[in-house]
Amino acid sequence: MRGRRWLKHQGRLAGFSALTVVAALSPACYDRRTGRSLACMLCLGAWQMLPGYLLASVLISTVLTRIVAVTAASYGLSHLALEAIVRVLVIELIPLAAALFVALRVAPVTMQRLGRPAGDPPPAYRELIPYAVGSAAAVIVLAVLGGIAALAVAYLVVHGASQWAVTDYARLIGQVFDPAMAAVFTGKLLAFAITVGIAPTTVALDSGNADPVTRQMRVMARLLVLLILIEAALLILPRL
Amino acid sequence: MPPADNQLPPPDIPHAPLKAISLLLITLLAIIAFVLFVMQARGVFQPTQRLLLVADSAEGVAVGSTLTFSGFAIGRVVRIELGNDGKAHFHIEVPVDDARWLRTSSVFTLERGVVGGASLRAFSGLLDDPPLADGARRDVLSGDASAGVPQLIANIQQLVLNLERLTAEQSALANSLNNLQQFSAALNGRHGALNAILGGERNARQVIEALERANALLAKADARLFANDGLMDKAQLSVGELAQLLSEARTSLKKADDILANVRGASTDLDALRNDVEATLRRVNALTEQLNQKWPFARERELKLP
Repeated sequence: MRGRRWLKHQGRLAGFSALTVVAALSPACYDRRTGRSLACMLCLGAWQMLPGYLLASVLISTVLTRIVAVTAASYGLSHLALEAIVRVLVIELIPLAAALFVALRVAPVTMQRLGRPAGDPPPAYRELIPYAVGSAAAVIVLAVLGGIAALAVAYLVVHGASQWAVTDYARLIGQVFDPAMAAVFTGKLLAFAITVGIAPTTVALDSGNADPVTRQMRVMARLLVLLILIEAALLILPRL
Repeated sequence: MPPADNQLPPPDIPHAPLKAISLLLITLLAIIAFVLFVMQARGVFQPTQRLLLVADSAEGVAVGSTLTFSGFAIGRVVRIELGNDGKAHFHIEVPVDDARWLRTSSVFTLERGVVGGASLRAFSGLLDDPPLADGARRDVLSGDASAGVPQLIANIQQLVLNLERLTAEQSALANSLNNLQQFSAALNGRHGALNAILGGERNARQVIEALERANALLAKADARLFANDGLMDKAQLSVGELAQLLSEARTSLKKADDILANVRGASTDLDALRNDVEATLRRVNALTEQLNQKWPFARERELKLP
């Protein structure tokens, strides 16, 4: 009985998410007010977070690159270090970190604005678009800019300010981002963006008598579980 | 469940549209630049030529692996297939610019290390040969470092067994070491190395006694040889006499030389005498011939044929 209710609830969430995606892809849902709200959410999630996120990305990239490069050199595997760094940092860690950064910054605001007391009707899908699309776009912006910064930092840490290794590095990046891996990376980025965009808006569906803090915790847990599921699925699927 | 329009708007941020558009533009440009960069790095914009390499096994080679020449990547594996001949076929794309390093005489190798993937390498010894044609097919020489590992382990096992046999209690090496120990103990004994070499104190004593006897003998010989009026003095006297004898012999030889010189002069006179005799004989001969011609019974000379 309880399982059926849980399944029914998940079905409602999936339907709500699908309709939100459809609304976000419908040009008719965008008007001047929506556009301004969307810009505000994008600035909240990306513009204000960008300096801190880039700084964190550069620091973590530097430390990890150094560790991997030194470890690989001690085993005589220097030629594999950069490839490992690119795969681990740019394809796995940076998008996940971007999603978590944006989720921690935007989700509380989204849930606070969209949360409603019991008995109130849910908000219009048009009202959800700025939160969903703004957050999703913020994830993509941070992930792309952070990834490029990480690539640059990895090159500088391994080769220094020399220009002579650029060709090899470009070839390595081209080798890592083969069509399959590029598709997986794009899919992962979009899945993270959609999850971070839509998951907090599902607070609008939780209209029970629960405490608002409990509801927000439930939404955040849902978001985290989804992110982990996506990460795990995209790690496993290409190897099947 | 009709949706309502009763929610709070997002927090207001000054110049939000401008910032958002600039962010989106930057991101879009970064994405486009990155995609173009990756496509350029993958050689999408470069004209390429194909090369088919055939190997016994495709193990360790993946799509995207590079073909290197002198350590530089000049080509990339774009497709791997199992050919009808049961061998692995690597389809390789080589940028036309880099294809000049591949010649008809080029050799291709596939080397598998113990760690990491396999590496495809090209070697062109004669760069003056004609360039490799587009779509050429070449066999790959394989070198597998890990293939030797089982053999190496078997050898090491054999080596360990041998080592165990060598270091066993009753082994030849242990016996040799024991003997060496006995030898070194004997070296440290009373008669030192002599005792160790001769194998016993008794033998060493005999050798020492023999040496003492030899010393005594030498002392006696010294007395006989080098004492006054000893054997050496007599020998010296005999040598003096011999020298005198030799000087006398030299004088006799001088005399003989003189006699020989006289004999040579006499032989010169003999030559003149012989010449006179020969001239006289020739004259007698001529006279005899004349006499024969004038003689009444001179014989007619005729030639009789058989």
